[in-house]
Parts: sequence; C-alpha cells; structure tokens
Amino acid sequence: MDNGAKAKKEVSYQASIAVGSTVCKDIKLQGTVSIGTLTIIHPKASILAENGPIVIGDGNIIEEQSVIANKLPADANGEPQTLFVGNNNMFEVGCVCEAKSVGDNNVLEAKSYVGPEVEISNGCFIGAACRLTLPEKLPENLSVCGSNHLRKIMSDRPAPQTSQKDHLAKVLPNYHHLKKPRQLTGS
Amino acid sequence: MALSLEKEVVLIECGCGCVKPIVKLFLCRFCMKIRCSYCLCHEIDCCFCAYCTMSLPPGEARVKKNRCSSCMDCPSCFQALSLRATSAGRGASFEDTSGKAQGDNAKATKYYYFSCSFCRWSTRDVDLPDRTIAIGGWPEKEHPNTSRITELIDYYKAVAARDLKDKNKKIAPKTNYLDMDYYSSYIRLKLGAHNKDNRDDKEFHSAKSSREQAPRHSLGLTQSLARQKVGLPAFHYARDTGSVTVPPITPSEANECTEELPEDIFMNHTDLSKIATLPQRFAQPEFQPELCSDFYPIRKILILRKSGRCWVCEHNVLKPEIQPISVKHKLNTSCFYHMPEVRIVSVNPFYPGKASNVILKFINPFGYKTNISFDRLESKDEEENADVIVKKISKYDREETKFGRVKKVEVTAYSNIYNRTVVLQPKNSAADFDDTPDLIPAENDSSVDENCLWTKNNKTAIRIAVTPNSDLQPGDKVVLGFSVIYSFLQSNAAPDLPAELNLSFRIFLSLGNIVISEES
Ligand SMILES: [Zn+2]
Ligand SMILES: [Zn+2]
Ligand SMILES: [Zn+2]
Ligand SMILES: [Zn+2]
Repeated sequence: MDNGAKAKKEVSYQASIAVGSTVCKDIKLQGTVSIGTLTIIHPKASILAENGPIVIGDGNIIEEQSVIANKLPADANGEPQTLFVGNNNMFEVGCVCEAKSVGDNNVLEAKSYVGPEVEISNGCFIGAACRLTLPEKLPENLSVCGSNHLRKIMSDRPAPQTSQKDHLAKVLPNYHHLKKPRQLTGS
Repeated sequence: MALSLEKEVVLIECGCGCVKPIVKLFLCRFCMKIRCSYCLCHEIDCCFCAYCTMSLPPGEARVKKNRCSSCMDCPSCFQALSLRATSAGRGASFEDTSGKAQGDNAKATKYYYFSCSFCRWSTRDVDLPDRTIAIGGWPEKEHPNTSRITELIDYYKAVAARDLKDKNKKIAPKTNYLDMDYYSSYIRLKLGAHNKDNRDDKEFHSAKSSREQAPRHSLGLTQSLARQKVGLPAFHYARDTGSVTVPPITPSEANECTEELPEDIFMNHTDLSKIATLPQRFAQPEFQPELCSDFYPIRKILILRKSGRCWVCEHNVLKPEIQPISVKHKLNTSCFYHMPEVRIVSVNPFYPGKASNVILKFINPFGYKTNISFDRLESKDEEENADVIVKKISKYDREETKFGRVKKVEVTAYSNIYNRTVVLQPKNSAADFDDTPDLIPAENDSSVDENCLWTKNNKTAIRIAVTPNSDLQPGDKVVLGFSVIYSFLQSNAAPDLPAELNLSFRIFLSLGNIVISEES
C-alpha cells in the first residue's frame, strides 16, 4: 500500500463473485473477473484479465500459485475478447493457463503451461510440467503427459473432484480470510 | 554421501589389481583380503516385486516369467498402475455376476480396475471389464503362438539334453565346488544308464550318497549363474537317463507374398494419439501392440537381490536378509565398515618438484582404537593369492579383461607420510551428534605427531607434504600412492587366526593437477 503504483495495480479490478464459492482474499485479481458458484480459489492464485474479461464457471478448483490470464487479442471490431472457463476444471499448483478457452472437466496438473493459441475442449488432462504452445484445439478427453508430451485419448473424462471440493469449502474458511460474494464491485 | 564416496578420487587396490572406491570393495573375513565385484561370485538371493514386496525363490520366479502376478505397469507410460475401487462396474461381463447376485446384493459389490495416476490410462480405456476380486487373478493375455513356442522350446531342450549326453560320454568333469551339481547329475546319468564303466566308481558313489538327497533345484539358478561366470556351458538337468528322443517339429515355411498394405494408408490422416510408440511396443515384446487400443497391463518385473561369495575361499562376503522388505544385511563385509577411510580435506596448488601441503582425514569405522602406519607401495609383498585370483578370473572373465578391467594407476608424486603413526579413536555413533569442539593437540605434546592437525571423535586430520615429480607438465594429474597398515580386531575370529591382525591396503589419491601457470 505504501507503493502508489503497486497499490493502484492491485485495486484495478472488477470482480463478481457468486454465492457458494470459496475465494480466498489473498489472491491477485486484475481486470473484469467473474467467478461462478462452488468454485474454490486458493490463496496466492492469480486471475489476470489483461486483454479482456475472464468468466470462470462453477465448481472449479484453482490452486496456489496458478495463473489464469486472458492474453487474447482484440477481435475484428477491436473489442476485447472474453476468456470463458467452463465448469469443474482443476488448475493445480503453479499451472499457467493462457488458453483461448477452457471447457468443462479439464485437469491442468502442477506447473503445466497452456499457451494463448490453444483451445481446451472438455475432459482434457494436461500432465505435470507439460507445455502446450502451438495453435490447436485439443480433442475431447485428451491426455498429455510426460517429458515427451505423450498424447492419447482417454475413454472417460478425469474423475470429478466432488469430495475434494466439499473438503476445501469446509477447511479453507478456517484458515483464510475469504472474499465476500458480490455482484460487480470495484474500488 | 554415497555419491561423494563413489567418486574415483580415493581409490583402493583390490587383490586382483583393479582400483575402486572404498564403497565398492569387500573384505573377505576368511582370506582377510580385499575383494572387488570381479573377485566375487554373484548369486541370486531372492527375486521380489519392488511394488508389493512379494518374494519368490528364483526357480518359481522363472516359471512365472520373472513377473509379479498382482502388480501391473502402465502400458502407456510404464509407471505402476494403481487399483481403483468403484461401486459402478463397467464392462461386458463381470465374471461372477450370476443371476442371484444382480439383486440388492449387486449394490454392495465393489468393482476394481487398474488406472495410472500419471497418464490417466486405465483398463477401461481398452474395454477390459472391471473385476470383483481386488488382488490377483487378472487373466494373462493368451499369445496366439503359445503352442508353437512351447513346441520349439521342448524341441531345443531335447536337443540340448542330447548334446549334453554326447558330451558327457567324452569328458568327465573335474570336481570342484561349482561343479558339484553338474557332477551329481552326471553320476546319476552315468550310473543310471549302464554301470559298466568302473573308472571312478568309488568317487562317484561317495559323491552320490552325499549329494543325491540334496534338493538339486534349490540352487539351480545360482548354479547356472555361477557356471556362466566361469565360462562353463549352462547345464540342463537331463532326467531322462535313457536315450534322448527329440520330438519332431514342423519347420516354419517361408512365404513368398507379403500382406498388402491397406489401400487408404497413404490417404488417411495419421492420428498419433491412437498409435503406440516404439518404446510402448517393445515394453510388451510378445505382443508389440500397434494401436493404443491393443494395450494390456504389463506385469511388473521382479527384481533381484544378490549375495556375494569370495571366489577363493567360497565364504559369503555379502548376504542380505531374507525378507525383501528389510534393507539390512545378515553379513556385509564392505570395506567401508572394515578399514579406515581416507579423505582429502584440502590441497594446495601443485608445482613440479615442489612440496605442497595436503591435509588428509582418517576415519575409524571400528568400535576400538586403531593404529595406522604407512608404507611405500613398492615395499609391499606380493599377495600370494593375487595371482591365483587373477588367473582364475581373467581366464573366464574375458569380457572384463577385454574392456581393460585392470587399470594401471600411475603414481606421479611422493610424500613424507611414511614412518608415521596415527592413532584413531573408536567410533561412537552417538558422539557424532554432539557438538564437541575439535581437539587440537598441545604445542609441545611429544606423544602426538606435530603434523596431526586435529582430532574429533573417530576422525583425525594430518598434514603431509606432497611433491609432484619434477618431470610433470602443467595440467598433468598428481596421483599419490602409499600403503596403509592398520590394526584389525577379529570379533569372531576363526580358531586358526590371531584375534588382532595388521592388515594393509594400497591406496591411490588423485590430488589434482599441476598448476597451469598464467605467467608468460
Ligand atoms: Zn578384485
Ligand atoms: Zn507385486
Ligand atoms: Zn500411465
Ligand atoms: Zn575369501
């Protein structure tokens, strides 16, 4: 707060947080962000709506140090594009997601990276430390893992993390200050 | 720690002539000689699965193709598969779901399938039905050519047995420890066939009576390994004492025409995510699946735990505990525990022909005081056994000799370490955790060597002056060599050996390189 520029950067966001979500106070927000219900955001996560708004759906888990950033270029009319993140996705510790869009039931494992020209469909699994940078649309239920980025199609989407979500929603408020649900606030 | 000791800086010479770091050497308690891995007969102690620690005797392991029956590896990424339980089963047939189980009871039934936590492959991916039994019983995939393979194996076994029989007619094998098994079977073969040949009958009978009842298979694999080591042909137990009949086989037929490629092979877009990679195919050599949909869980390969036996006296020098869970040894005569360790603490820059200070540290591994003295390399007596071993090994261990097993270490420096005695205090494991200050000997304590820098528990550092040879060029290696003589107490001494011994070893220290001078 003592640094003027820093303080200004920290407050320049507009967040709408749905009721039922568990969003820790100690996160970094930037730009226009909307967070859906039942979504859990751990402390020290960053959601950076740099080039346009970010809309995060329901039932996502965003773990510590992970970054979701909107790096999309402006569309044909010069309007900023919105990054939509679907439901029940899992962003594990330290992952960086700059994808064009994220569907439902995806898992981004720890330290993985998804570049701005990648479109994540549904049920994809991106293994720990895997980097996807080339423009593509991932097919459904794709699994990428290992140092060789071995790809294959799974028969099923990754298992839902229902019990984990319930547990976090119970435990996180005991140890962290939470952001209160609100509709489009700013300061 | 292990890594720093494995570095080839401080090397000790084995009786056979090779030089190795201290952790790779053993001290045979019966010969009282250093033995390296080439001077040991390596035997398989047990085979076990590293995942579930189930152990199997080698013979049984071989029957099971050296694979665990309950643990699986991922065919996609080769990590271990983990068993998942679910209440909702999937798959065409649940083996034991008979009509009555489908009622209310079916809800309570758990279904199991394997899944990889690393790449998320699961047995459901390849449409393997879930199972209701948790452990074991996963069916082995039947190979289409199994009958042909067994037919061929039987054929070649018979051929080998016939060859062996022919061979045994000609040469009577020599007796020694390794050949006992071979020998007793040979006797049975001979006696059983026709008892006419009286050449060595008495010897045969005595050997027969003592060996006949012994379970011949208990050491089967070990024996064949030992035989391999000395370069003798592997032995097959010929139970058939009569003439060996070789079963007929149908020879394979060469085919002129090969299968046509599918017509659309060059037109269709290749989907790499559905095609197996080469490592994935080689991981299942018997099936070599081309498509990911043909994957099948790979049974985990058993790993071995070996024991070591001295080639000369045939006593064990390394014997792990029977339980594979235990990392301890019943017997471990590693030199690390049986001779003082020498470490280089610091060196000063080296110049040809000029003395430089080097600080060495000696560590006592024993629970008693040890005296160390030093001697020149040249004055050391030749080990009487050394030649025997070298002959014994180099005769058979061709491969190792070919790759230059015995490295000659060239000593390029001399020092003033000789005629000096260092007394090492006993090792006290508990004292290592105390923060006791280093004991620096008093200035005018005549009982202590003036070059003894400090003593801490079982460690003592001394300073020596090392003079590199004057003909060395800048950048050349400075290698110091000397013999260390130390007192060794036999805890469970053999009756014919004295309780206290003076043992010695030859040590080579790579101290560094001659300074490349920057002045022109
Ligand atoms: Zn050796
Ligand atoms: Zn196992
Ligand atoms: Zn796997
Ligand atoms: Zn021995």
